[in-house]
Amino acid sequence: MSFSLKHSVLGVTLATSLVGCAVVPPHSGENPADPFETVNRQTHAFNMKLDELILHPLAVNYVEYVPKPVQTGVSNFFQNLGELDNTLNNLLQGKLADGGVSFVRFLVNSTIGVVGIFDVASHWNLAHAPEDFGQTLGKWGVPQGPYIVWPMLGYSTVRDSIGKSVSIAMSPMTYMSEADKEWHWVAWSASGVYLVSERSKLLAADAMLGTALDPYVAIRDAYLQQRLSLVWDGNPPIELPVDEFEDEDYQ
Amino acid sequence: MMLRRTLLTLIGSLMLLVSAPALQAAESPEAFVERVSNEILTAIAADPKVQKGDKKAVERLVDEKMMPNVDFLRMTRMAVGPKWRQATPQQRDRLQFLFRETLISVYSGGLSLATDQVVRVLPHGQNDGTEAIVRTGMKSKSDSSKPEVTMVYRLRNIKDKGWQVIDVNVEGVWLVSNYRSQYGNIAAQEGIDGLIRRMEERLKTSSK
Repeated sequence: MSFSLKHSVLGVTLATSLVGCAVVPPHSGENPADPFETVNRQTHAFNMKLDELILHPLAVNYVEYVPKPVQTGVSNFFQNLGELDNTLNNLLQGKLADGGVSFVRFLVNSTIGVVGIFDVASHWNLAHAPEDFGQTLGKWGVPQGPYIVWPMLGYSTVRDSIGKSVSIAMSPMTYMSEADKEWHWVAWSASGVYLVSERSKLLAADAMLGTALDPYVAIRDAYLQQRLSLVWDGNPPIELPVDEFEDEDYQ
Repeated sequence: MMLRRTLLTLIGSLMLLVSAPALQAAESPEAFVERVSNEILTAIAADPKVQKGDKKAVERLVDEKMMPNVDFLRMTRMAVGPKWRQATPQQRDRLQFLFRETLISVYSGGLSLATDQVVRVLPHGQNDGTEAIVRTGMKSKSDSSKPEVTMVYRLRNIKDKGWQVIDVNVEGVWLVSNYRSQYGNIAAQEGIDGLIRRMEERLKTSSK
């Protein structure tokens, strides 16, 4: 009891000292998609600091020192664990063919593909068709709800947070660690590897973030736009800013 | 016989000269995007310096292959938002220069990923004569299991120039819109000079 209390106090102190630098602009929270902006900005600052100190350096070393085929294998392994989630959500969205393909992919890659390390199915024209419950809810017309930045877990909305919990419930990993206490730390280390592997794929996006004048807004808008696009399977109704200076002389 | 052939060649090349601008104007948005994308990908594949993100090489690529096909003034003013109206000609030039530098540094980070890509035009594009949306997919030539990256182009039919790119969408995210929500806020609060100062500072730290 006192042990865990000490840990939480330490955690809170650490978090506060990391967050100290979050800048909250005066118009914070005025964007209807982001009513919790003030809190989100604090969490974002905490996540960015954590990324800078731990995740980013790990991802850079991962790309540098882990052989490419191993990186692909790791990425395939985790992708395969998501296939049951893809199966369920394709079916829920009425995409029967993609649902079937996702399930066959899981069977093929788990066996012939050696627990998912090799993506054999993709070479057999069984294309990866990712769908999650957040997208399913979106397709059903459930609004996205406020934008939320979770500590460590990252960017989400109310709708996508519900989706995420369904993904966790659909992952075989969850049940392996439930079944046996021994698997607990395996599941935790696997989650760590998964995070580093996913982060390593985003290293190219760091350049864009590096040029952002307000990285919080850049990430938020990119996240919301990308999720909207995914709900519409890459073809959302397009709402683009109009060029309001059409009347000006053209140089 | 000889003379006739020479004459024919001459007439032929004259006709080519005359019809070249007309051909260009009639190019469909899809054909335009496919041609320009392939030109750029070929140039990247041919230049290891560009792949490594060498600033000089990337700048040359941007100036030679991209800028002629992009309406950069329009992109900049759409990114800046309503305050553009109040900017002086000097400030406008400066904003365009800084936005170009910003995009070059974004671009340099992604070039190492584009060494063996092929482009294809995807369905569901739009075209109303003045503006067009062209959807494309980029895939690795050597590894078919890698997912296709979707890139969507927003084009505008500009008088005397034909189609020009005015916004790009990578994996669902529109570039100009994304900068607009940051630049617009800052310009509204700190004015055009404030925005210029912030862009300059950011470029200094990001190019370290």
